[in-house]
Amino acid sequence: MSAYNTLFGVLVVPPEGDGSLLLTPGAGGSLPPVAFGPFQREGAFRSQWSIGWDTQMACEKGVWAEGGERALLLWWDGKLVPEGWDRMRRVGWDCLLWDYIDRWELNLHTPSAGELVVAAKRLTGGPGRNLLTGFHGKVASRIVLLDRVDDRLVERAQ
Amino acid sequence: MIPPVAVLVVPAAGDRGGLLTPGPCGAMLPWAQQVRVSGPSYTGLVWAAGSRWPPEDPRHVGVLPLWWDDALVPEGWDRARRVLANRMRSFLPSDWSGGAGALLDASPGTESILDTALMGRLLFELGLASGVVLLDRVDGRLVERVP
Repeated sequence: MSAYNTLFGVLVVPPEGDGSLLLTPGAGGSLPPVAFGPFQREGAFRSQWSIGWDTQMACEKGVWAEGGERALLLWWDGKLVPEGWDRMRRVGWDCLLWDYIDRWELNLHTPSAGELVVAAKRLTGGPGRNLLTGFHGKVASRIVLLDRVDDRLVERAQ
Repeated sequence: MIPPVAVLVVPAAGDRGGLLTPGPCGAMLPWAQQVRVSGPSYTGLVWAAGSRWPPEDPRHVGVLPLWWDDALVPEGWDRARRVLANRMRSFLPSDWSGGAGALLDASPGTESILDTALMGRLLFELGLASGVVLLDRVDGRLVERVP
């Protein structure tokens, strides 16, 4: 049994500035699925990750004292997040991170959590280059694997 | 023939294919709608890109843009591709017709405006869309192309 079969969530954290546009809003009001990492809330450490753009708005309005990381959601509650996977495969393609061997995996419609992790590791590996935008650098800074333990989401050590 | 500047897919009644169903975890789809404008040079309906789904005015019927302003709308294309893939699951690959297989296997960044028009046509033929709207730019406005 794969070590990834029991994962609750798989997230990809872009580096500062998100130069590869992992979390950039698209045309016509589209938004990628997003999660926010552990942060301070009213003085108490909040270990859960929160999902959705409303969380970001709350952060920007100062509802929560200290913002955490933003991440693209690939897998949540034991299920694929299709829009997250679609965004990642496009960014990986745009940044020339997929090679010919990857193409089969790239076109998967419903990858498993393990396949997502393998693909995400490509983003955190070597630098990417987008010839259209001029971006050259790291596409993702890290992958977050989440397990549910006692009704809390805890990050799995990698 | 001059290619259109936008290709829009109108979901079928009830949107049973889920073309415009919001995604999980805060994912929002692109959409477009017709809005009424009135001005010194023109009064009537024009097409405009959406902001945040759903439309504030429920009378506005949303459509899914696959191509907009002479460029692919990746999130619209990817949703249409998923809806088509779900529908094609009940078919054997040998039954795929009209280039469905090629559309489903297209690599990101390689989709053309012809692909988007074909995608719209396929969704229409499968009963997942009630129509495909092609837009031209006329005097700075996006207007529907009359067949």
